[in-house]
Amino acid sequence: MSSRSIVRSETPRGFGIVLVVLATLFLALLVLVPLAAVLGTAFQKGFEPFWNAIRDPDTISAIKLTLITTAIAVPLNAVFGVAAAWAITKFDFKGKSLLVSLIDLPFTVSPVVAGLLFVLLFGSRGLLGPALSDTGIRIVYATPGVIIATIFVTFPFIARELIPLMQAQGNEEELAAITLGANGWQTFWRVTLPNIKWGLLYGTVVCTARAMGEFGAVSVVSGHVRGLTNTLPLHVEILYNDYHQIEAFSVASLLTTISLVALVIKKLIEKKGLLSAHGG
Amino acid sequence: MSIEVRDVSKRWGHVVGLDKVSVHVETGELIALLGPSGSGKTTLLRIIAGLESADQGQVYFGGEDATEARVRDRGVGFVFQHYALFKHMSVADNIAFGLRVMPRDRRPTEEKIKAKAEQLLHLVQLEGMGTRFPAQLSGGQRQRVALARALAVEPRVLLLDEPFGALDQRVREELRSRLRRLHDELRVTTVLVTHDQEEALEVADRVVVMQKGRIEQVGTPEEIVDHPKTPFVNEFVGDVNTLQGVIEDGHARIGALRVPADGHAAGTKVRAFVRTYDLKMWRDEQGIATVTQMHALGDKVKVSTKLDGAGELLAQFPRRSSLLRGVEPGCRVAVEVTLARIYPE
Repeated sequence: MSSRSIVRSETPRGFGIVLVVLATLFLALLVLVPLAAVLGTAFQKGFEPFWNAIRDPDTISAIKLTLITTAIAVPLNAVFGVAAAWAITKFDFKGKSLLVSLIDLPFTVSPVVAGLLFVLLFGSRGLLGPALSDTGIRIVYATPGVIIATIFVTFPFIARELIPLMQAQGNEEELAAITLGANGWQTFWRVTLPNIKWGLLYGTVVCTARAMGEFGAVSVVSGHVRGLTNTLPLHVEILYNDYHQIEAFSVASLLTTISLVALVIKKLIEKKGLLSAHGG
Repeated sequence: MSIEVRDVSKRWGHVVGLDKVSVHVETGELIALLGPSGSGKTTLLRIIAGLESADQGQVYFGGEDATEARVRDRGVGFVFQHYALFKHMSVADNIAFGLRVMPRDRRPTEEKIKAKAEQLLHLVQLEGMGTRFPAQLSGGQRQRVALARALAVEPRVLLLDEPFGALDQRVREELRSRLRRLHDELRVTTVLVTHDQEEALEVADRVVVMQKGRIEQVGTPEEIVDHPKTPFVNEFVGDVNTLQGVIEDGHARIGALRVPADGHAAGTKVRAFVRTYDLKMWRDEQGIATVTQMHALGDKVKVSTKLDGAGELLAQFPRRSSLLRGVEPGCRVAVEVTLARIYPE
């Protein structure tokens, strides 16, 4: 199946070589060198200090919070993302373009502004603050705030991945399912979901990586309470600011590993998805 | 199950999709909706299926008002132009889909479903293809799977939207006669949408010719061909010459050609429709037309001429016709029209 045709000339010559060398150098300088520096600094004094930094109770609690946040934000965004993409691509309704713009909002708003927005909304002097403090629920400077901020910032990843895919697929298969007697639920599980599963998985991986690495918005709402509202990226910052270089880089290398794993999974999905998209 | 469409209208903003259309389809009949794109034929089909809602008017299935019924409760089998097969399912699973999504109390056992799928594969002559995936089939085979899938739920009405539109000529002709035979066997009330007159005239019991959201004529293929009621049907059905002329003492004068035309006042501007096979031509230096091109198409010859004082005139003859003796590009020919239909402008 050659519908993804790649223009392939013979070995690059002249100008081509210059381009390849430039691109490689650029990538090496900006990606590979820093990557090596992170790992190098983390293991500067051997494995022992690295392991101690990871084992530190504050680090463990940051890992826990990051995992909890991701475990809540990603499934919610998957459900909302699929629902939004389904609504946008399979139905016509008023305010559709508004919904599309709203989905893009988290991409265009600076994460710091997004964070501030939640502080202004849920903070003690915020719009909903008094009502919230009466019920005793804390959102800002507590775990719920971290989760809400993460959901906001990572919302578009899955929806944005699915919308073009579902648009390209059209809705004929769904219509066919309905004429054959399927109800909405059966149509979704048996026809739509199998058709978008690779896109959904891809979006989920990207969303997960982003949710674990989110800094800006979370930094504003978390309040940096050590061992309580610190996620991994925030913990790295605090360690670094306190001149705990090895510890900071050790935790950073943990985050780096997560993103590398996500990258590999992403690549695998791309391959698999392409194969199945062409009738495997 | 008979279908009754009564005064159905549909518009999108200022665009008229259907304008007070009424059609009756008898139980067991195969009817074709024929028209150019934008004539409203597909819209009408989708309204019958419930995939589109009418702004006005009613649809009755077997005398029962089905206008507001949900698509899945209508019991229609719909075959889409681009098949709309489920890509991720095998052919057998595609065919079995409608049975598997039935409510539990009506759903057959898994063995019965499999047996039914086998039986349908046999019906559309795709035995042994059940485990393949749609991407592994040819266009004609996919079309047959789509048909089998629609028939699996034993629909009361079968609706086909340009079912052969995306196929090449040879496969089309084969599937066409296959569909007709299948219909004779199953006798399911069927509505077929097509822009191909040959397809409509060959397959259907009756043809509905549509244009601009209206029905131009309803009739058997013979009636449509032999007694076209409107200028549009004349022009749309059959290979036809459309000529502009003026009435002069009981004749329409089209350049140098005179065609008998009764019942029109002198001086009336008219349009004359002349089928390419309702013409005679023979070599004559005193003739009124010049041959520009000749094409042999199998057992037929198409002759293009330039009519003096008018435009192009096309004629069609059997290859061995004695009329063609000596006729060649560049020569002069005499023209006689054996049948023309004349309408005032």
